Amino acid sequence: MRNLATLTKRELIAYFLSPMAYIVMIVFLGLVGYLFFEFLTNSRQADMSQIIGFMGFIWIFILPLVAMRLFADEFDSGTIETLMTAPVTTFEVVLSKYLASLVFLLVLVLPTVFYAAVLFAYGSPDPGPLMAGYFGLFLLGSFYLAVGMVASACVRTQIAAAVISIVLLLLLHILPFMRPYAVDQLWKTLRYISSSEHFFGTFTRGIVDTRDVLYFVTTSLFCIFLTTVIVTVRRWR
Amino acid sequence: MIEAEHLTKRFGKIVAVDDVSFRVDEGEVVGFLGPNGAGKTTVMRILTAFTPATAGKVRVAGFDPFWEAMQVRQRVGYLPENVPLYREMRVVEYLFHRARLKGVAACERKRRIGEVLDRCGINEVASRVIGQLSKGYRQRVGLADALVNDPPILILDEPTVGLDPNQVRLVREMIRDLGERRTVLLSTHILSEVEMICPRVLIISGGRIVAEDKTENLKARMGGSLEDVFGKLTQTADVVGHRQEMEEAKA
Repeated sequence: MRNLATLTKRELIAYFLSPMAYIVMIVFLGLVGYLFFEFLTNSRQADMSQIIGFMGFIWIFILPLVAMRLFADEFDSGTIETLMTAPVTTFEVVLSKYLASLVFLLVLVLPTVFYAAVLFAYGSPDPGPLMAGYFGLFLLGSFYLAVGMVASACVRTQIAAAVISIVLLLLLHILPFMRPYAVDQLWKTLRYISSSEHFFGTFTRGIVDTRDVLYFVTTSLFCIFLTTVIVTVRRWR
Repeated sequence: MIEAEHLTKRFGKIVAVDDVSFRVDEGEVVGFLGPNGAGKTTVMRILTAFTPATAGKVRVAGFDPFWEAMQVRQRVGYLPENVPLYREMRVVEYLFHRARLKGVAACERKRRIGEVLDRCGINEVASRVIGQLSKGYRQRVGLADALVNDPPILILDEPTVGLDPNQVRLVREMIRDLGERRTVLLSTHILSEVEMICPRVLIISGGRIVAEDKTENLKARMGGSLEDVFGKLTQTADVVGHRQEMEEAKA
């Protein structure tokens, strides 16, 4: 436990000392802020569901940039050697890096809660879908970060890690559009595998389905496990 | 303290370390010599529980680096080649982080870090960012990290590379000092350094141990300086062949 806290702290320091963190925040909050303004002035409805959906979509491009340095940087600079010759287990290292990226995710989303506060100040939005939406966003984001971490553990450069995870996440996102090219049974399977099926139209509408929760939790856990294996194997060769 | 028996490491088809056996006893300072690519770093990585051996038996402080990695890592201070450090952290910050990871008790940390800062002569850069330091300072920050939890075994991969002559002397004296209470295995290319601080040497070439003896004995046995001994033992066939050709051409 002590190791986990120490390692997570060091990851967070690294996050907030790198310019990438601030670039990501500025771009993300700028885009979301602008769209919030547009949606609100056009629809005149106290509703965040579109904004939440939009955030979920652009995370495909933004969260890989957050996760890319987790392991690629350690392998690239060789610090993996000092790290893994200190008395810490590979699992502790993987978990602490993941936890740090989750903290970053929370920091990234936190300012958008302000928009919700604006809605509450000037209108009466339904708090149920709002909470479900944010819960779904967190699950979706944690899954994207887990995929990004796997990609980061596979390669040596951060850019390659980001590109690989963006492609993977896009692929997972567009699987439901394969309808015309697949037989029914296959299409159902693809839909089940797709991450967008478990977020858009469910969490964004305020539906918290245990199947969707389970999907994100299990896939994220699987990615953590996979990263542990990859880092161990890379160290062995 | 360190025992290796029939140690072998393969990377695919390449044999990096080939049936290597040696031992380093408690309180010894042993020099680990060999040309580039001879397998020094690989052996050190196996001893520090970074990478497992393909075959063979290793004991470090009585523990197996593969099955008892945590016990080994707690007892070994390791300075890797090229000294990888977190460049964005400050020196003191980094050492505190490492001390915590290595289980130095909270009440001891400040004192220990003060000690290693003094010992490695990096007090004046303690609050600087590591990425902005010169190679010599970074090298000594790495050394301070290796020493921070006062481990009984030190494994140092080229500890004096990139230091200026004054710093080299400082680090050598430090290693000699450290060797009085600890077991030290250090690799280097500088042969005069070995003669100064290592009573015993291991010479590895092409993944095999080609000599293991007291430095004095080796010089007496092979004749000439340590440089000659090293040359005779580690030259590969084609280098010898090349030299013969040169001599023939000269004649």
